[in-house]
Amino acid sequence: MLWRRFRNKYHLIGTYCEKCKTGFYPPREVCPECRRGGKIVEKQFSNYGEIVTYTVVSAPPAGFEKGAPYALAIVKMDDNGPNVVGQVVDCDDEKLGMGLRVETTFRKIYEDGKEGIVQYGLKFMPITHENL
Amino acid sequence: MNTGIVGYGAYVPRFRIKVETIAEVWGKDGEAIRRGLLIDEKAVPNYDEDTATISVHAALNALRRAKIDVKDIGAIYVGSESHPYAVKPTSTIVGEAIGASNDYTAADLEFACKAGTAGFQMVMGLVDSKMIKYGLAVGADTAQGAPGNALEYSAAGGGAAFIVGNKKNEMIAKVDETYSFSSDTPDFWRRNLAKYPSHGGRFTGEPAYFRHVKNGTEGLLKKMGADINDFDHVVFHMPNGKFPLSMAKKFGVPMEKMKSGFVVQKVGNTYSGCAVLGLAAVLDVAKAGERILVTSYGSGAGSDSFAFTVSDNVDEKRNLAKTTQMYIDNKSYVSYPTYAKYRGKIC
Amino acid sequence: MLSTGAKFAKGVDMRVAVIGVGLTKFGEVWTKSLRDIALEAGVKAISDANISAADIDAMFIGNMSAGRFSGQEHLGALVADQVGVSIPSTRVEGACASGSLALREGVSSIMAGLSDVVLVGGAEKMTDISTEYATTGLMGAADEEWEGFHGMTFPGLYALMARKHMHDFGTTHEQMASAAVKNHHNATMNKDVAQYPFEITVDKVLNSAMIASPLTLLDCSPITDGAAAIILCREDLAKKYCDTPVYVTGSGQASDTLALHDRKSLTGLQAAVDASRVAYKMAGIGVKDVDVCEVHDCFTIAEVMACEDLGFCKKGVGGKFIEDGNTQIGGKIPVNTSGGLKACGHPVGATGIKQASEIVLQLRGDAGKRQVNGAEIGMTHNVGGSGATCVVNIFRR
Repeated sequence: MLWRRFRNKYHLIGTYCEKCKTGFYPPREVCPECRRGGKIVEKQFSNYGEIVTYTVVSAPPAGFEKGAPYALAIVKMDDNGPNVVGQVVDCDDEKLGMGLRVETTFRKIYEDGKEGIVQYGLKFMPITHENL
Repeated sequence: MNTGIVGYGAYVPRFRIKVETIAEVWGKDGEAIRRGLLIDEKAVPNYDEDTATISVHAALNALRRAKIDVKDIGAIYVGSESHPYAVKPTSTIVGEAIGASNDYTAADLEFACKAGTAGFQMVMGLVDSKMIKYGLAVGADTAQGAPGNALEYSAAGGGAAFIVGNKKNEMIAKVDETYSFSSDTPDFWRRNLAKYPSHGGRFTGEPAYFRHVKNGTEGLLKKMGADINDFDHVVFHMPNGKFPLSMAKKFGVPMEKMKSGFVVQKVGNTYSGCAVLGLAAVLDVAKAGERILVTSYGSGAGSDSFAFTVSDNVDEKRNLAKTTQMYIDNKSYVSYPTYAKYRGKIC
Repeated sequence: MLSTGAKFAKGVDMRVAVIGVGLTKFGEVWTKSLRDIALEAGVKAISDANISAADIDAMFIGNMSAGRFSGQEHLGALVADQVGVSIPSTRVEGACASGSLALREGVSSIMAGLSDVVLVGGAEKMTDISTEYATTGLMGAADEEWEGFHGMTFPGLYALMARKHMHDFGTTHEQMASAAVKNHHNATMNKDVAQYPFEITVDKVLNSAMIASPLTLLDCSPITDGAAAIILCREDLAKKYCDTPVYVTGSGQASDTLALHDRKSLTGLQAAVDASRVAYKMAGIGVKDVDVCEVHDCFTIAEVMACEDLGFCKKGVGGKFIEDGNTQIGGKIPVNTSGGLKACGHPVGATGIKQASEIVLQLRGDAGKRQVNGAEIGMTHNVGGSGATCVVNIFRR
């Protein structure tokens, strides 16, 4: 039941420890560094970031066959945001690489079969126009 | 009538397929089809795009231009004939994804290619009656033609979203008048559970498209006591390139007034997202004080006609989000097999 | 993150011996079900220890996903039923590290004085479902809600680490491939158990089908059916059953974030570093004292990182270290003499026990053609998920 995570899945909303200034996505309720001494607040992170590492998956799990091969990357979000994992779409093969600037894009993630729920969430795509 | 567009946004998927590429698969003369339809290529949604994702992107662009608090949106209507669910609204997915409050009314609309403009009229009414502060109307589709069918050359993906409000200083364009013309005309349909639409061939022309667009437009002009020559930009629904241009010819509208909203040649027919995408493209280039006439057409059948006057702050607001042209220019061609896979024609 | 319990390591006097091992043939075992292979490994271990089932006080069974792979839960009872005993029998789950966790549970039970003789086993039946569903099932070891959701796969997770390692340290695909080549060679000397006992070449690895770039098919461990069991007993009772007991002298276990992207480092497994520190300290040895080691090479890059995390070589040079032959039999520190996960096979829940079995055989001098001469101290490195759980166990002759 991902419904309870829609707010975090549809937006880069996680949490942030105001004491050690660390962002968490997915959200954490306890700061691993500050423990009970930390102060956790909700935070919307930047939708822009840079690819830290990536792969192109050719052997997908059940339900992801249609998109294969698809790229997955860990992206470091701007403004000292957290690392976030997601697919990279609308990106030419030769462009995909370490350090590529990307932005979030709202996409279909998978379908629970032909009759099930359609899951939506964020993927990444190359930035076509900075700040637009 | 005291409503206007305070924010608008377009979205066109990145992939394109050329009319020739499709024609080649079916052993047709691509060049002749291209000239006949006045369509060079059409936008193909990625495998992970649907009416909901297209609507969200268009709505986010509209919000950027509107510069309003998203929590003030009191109504969301998404018009489409390719809603991801038969039962379960697209409009609430859009609401969640743009960060709306829960304090809004919503529904999905269907009226072939004019469900987007129908939604626009609905939010106009809600805003004008002060039931809501702002309303969001989206027209979007991931239209499909059956493989080998004439519609396959034109049926495309894309859409546009509009935030309607009543504060003059926020308006990009004021709505001067709207008029609708409807009749029971079975020119194009899709039965429940059918994968692809069917159509009445040549019947879709004279008694369907042309009758409704003509009457819709004339009704608007009559209602507001205007002449079509008073307008600087004209958008007629674009099921292909040929129909709107021959409609324009009948009205005596010169090509330069059609040009700014004539997106069909490089995008295809985005169905519920078609006339509205044309309007978004016009707003990307229109000057303050200019007047815009838009007439949509939905099979079944009906036309919604609108008259707008562009406001002063159009220059400042249009640069706050990606323009329609930016989307049209950012493209990558796909082969027929890839297109067939992305659009679920083979799986 | 909080520390990993290293404070307990010093002063722990391990008093547990291994007196028997049993392994099934690893591979696509079409004629046998989960219960068949579990029983086979258990009976072999009991015979090897020269005990009877009546001597066993408790059983701990490592298994990751029988519910998903075979529709069978309640593995503890299943195994007790098959063996025909009514003693405590418990399933232990820690993804691909389930086997080593079971072993630690067995050790704990003996150390606590609850048991004298314990059977610890691991079993996994993975070929009764399609590869796509196995891939999905294995993703249960990662963060389902935040990684699996996006279509992430295990090869994908390790590919993300491989790409970063290549980027940061200049590690080459050829270097990674050399681990697979070496492990396949070792497997040719372990024909009774190994799934793929044949030679491959670096070129073959580089040119095999792409799974998750840069990792190809031959960078990946296979989907395997298999079971393994060992018999643990109180140190002071060991000689009663066995002339050549092997002793468990150190054990470390550590945890890390479930999701890879949450970690500080993407080029090593902190849980492996932490677990090995505890184990070394407990065993009172240094890395140089280790004569033979089984590491968790679920992917070639995993063996590269293991060599670094365990301290066999410096951070960043694991690829070259392997390529230069340091981990071959006869090299500085022979790694994966069994053939590793890559060539011996990777029935996930059984892997930790298979690793322990291989080390026991090496320390007893029973490893045949792949024997590491004079091996006295051996180690296992067993990873769950993409490094969220790591267990390092140290054994001594």
